[in-house]
Amino acid sequence: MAVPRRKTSKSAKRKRRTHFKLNPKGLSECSNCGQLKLPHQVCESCGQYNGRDVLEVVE
Amino acid sequence: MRHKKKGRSLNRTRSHRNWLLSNLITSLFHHERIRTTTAKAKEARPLAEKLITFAKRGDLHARRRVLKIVRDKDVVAKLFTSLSDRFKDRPGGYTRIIRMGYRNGDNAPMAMFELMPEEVVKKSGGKKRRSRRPKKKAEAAEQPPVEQAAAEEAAAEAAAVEEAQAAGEQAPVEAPAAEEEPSAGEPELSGGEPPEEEQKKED
Repeated sequence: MAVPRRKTSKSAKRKRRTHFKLNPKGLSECSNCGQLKLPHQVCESCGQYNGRDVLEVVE
Repeated sequence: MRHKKKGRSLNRTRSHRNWLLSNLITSLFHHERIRTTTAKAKEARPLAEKLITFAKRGDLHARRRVLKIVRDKDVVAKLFTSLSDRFKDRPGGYTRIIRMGYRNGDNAPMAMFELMPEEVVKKSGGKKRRSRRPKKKAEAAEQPPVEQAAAEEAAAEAAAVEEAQAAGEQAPVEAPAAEEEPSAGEPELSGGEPPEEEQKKED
């Protein structure tokens, strides 16, 4: 069975993990209340989408 | 090749999927607005709209074909009376899917799947959309002069505040912002105000 010849060094491990990272979410402003929200989604703070009430906001 | 392989499997067998869609659509006609995953809503939408078209036809054959899918006579009766009447003048597009974030647990994209409401609501939505576009154009046009002349800007701001206070009931969200900005006196922040002024002139 094929087995790694050598233990992965700290350096190699860390270099590999430089690409392992989180990206920020692409957020947009709600046109009604100005809060940040996910684009093309109902605004969670005011419950509006495209100028219409969609949800009732639960406080 | 995916020739002739239309639609989503939704991780179900055909019979399971057919029942799922049947149940979803029955609930939709019953409650008029249901919350489900985006994929299920998109899959159910064409079928639901076809059933409404049958309902608008209104004859016995159409009713029997709908009953093959919606197996609840009360719901079918509602579909053929109040709903078919509501959608009488609407040439298709009877339903609406609005995305509403991700479900806790499996992070599935969720959506509101609803029948379109009466005409009155639709018209007011259209008006709002129209008034929003000129506002953006005004914003772009007004910005350069504001940055050039600070004195003019201060005068404009004062005017904007007065107008905003006068029209405070119309724009409750925007008015407080207008009052804060003159005290801060930052030219970059004031970019949001001239369009407001413009808007009031339109009104």
